[in-house]
Amino acid sequence: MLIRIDPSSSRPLFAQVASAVRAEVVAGRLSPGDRLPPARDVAAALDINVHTVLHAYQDLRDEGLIELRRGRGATVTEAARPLAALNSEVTRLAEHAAALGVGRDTLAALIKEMP
Amino acid sequence: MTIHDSHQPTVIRRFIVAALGLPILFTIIGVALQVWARPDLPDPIAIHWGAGGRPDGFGSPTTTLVLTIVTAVGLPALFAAFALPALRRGDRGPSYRFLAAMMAATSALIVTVTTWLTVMQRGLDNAHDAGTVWWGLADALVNAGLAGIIAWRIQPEHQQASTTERGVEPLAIGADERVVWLQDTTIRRRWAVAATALGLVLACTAIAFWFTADRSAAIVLTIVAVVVALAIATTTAFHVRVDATGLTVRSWIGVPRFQVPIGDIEQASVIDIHGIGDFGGFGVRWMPGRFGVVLRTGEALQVQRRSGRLFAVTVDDAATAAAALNALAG
Repeated sequence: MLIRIDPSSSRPLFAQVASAVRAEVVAGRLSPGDRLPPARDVAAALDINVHTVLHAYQDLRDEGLIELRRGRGATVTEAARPLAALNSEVTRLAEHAAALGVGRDTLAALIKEMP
Repeated sequence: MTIHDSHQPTVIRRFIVAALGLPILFTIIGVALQVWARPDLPDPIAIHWGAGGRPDGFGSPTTTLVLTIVTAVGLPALFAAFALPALRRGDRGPSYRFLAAMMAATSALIVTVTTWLTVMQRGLDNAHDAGTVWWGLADALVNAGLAGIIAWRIQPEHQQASTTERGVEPLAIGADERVVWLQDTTIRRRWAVAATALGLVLACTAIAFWFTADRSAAIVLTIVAVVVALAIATTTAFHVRVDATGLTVRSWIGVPRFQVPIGDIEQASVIDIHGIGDFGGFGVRWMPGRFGVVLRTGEALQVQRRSGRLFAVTVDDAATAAAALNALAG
């Protein structure tokens, strides 16, 4: 699993870690039942605070994407399947929008405001 | 590749002849001799000799016969079952030829020892009068050597299938970005189940021995159980990590731990590993010029050090790991 963060970005680090995990799920590299690496290992490798990683994991749990269990760590749930299934269509849509000069924020807003 | 392809049927057929045909032939000869000697054998016969070369253990001739068949055919069959699927997939290399020769030699050794030691007791009234084992052992070594040479010679020479190395473009990483890639890698599930079962059986037997058998047997079995458990724990499951410090491969209990510092990395790529052909087997393997954590056949991350030496680990999603390493090292 690849996690990349940019400390110079204005986005909070925990949000960056969470979206890295989400991206892995969408790309199909993480499937239901897969375990996420221990927060401690991720924090050490990225040289960030372990609570930042735990914050990200808790957000993902609140979304229903992972389960957190004492002793078993973080496990990807069945909720990952529909996300991965949408991957190719979302990619195509984003590429199409980019080709037409429509930014991603605009595209997201269009989807949000759909009736 | 075309050379291998035209040789393909011969390589596999001769491997089977060497690794299975010869052992079966030796066993038939040994069994025939043992059956022929049977009417003239004392019962029980001597089956164990002490350090001085005198008999000190006795048993039924049938036990020796069964032991001969089970070990002289069973062992080669076990290893052939392991190697044949890989050969069928197109893997090649001197390791296979050597493996078949070893199987023929081992089988010849076992058959000669059991048969010689049985047949030499013909005509004895009491197995205590059985002579020394030295001539039988000497003959067994000679036969094993001959069998190995024959098995090696009847197989065609074949070269290791060229591992196709796939270069990987470095990941685009921003100046301030930090990257980590983490992945667990384990042996295939069926082997993991088999290893766990073996460990449990040994542990239970060891515990039972403490209560039922004598103390020294219990100690020996406990040591064996601990050694096997440690071997399983340290060679079957690893955490693989790529970050700014380089590549780290750590077993799930923490040791052993292998590291390639980022400054030592020339380039990373993806290869397909055939355990036996490329590394002579599975586990933590040293070969001239390369080192591998080889848990299964298939996708692997390979790192070339600045010294030219190679480090490989079988792991899923190796392309992402290689891309990250190439970016971090570049």
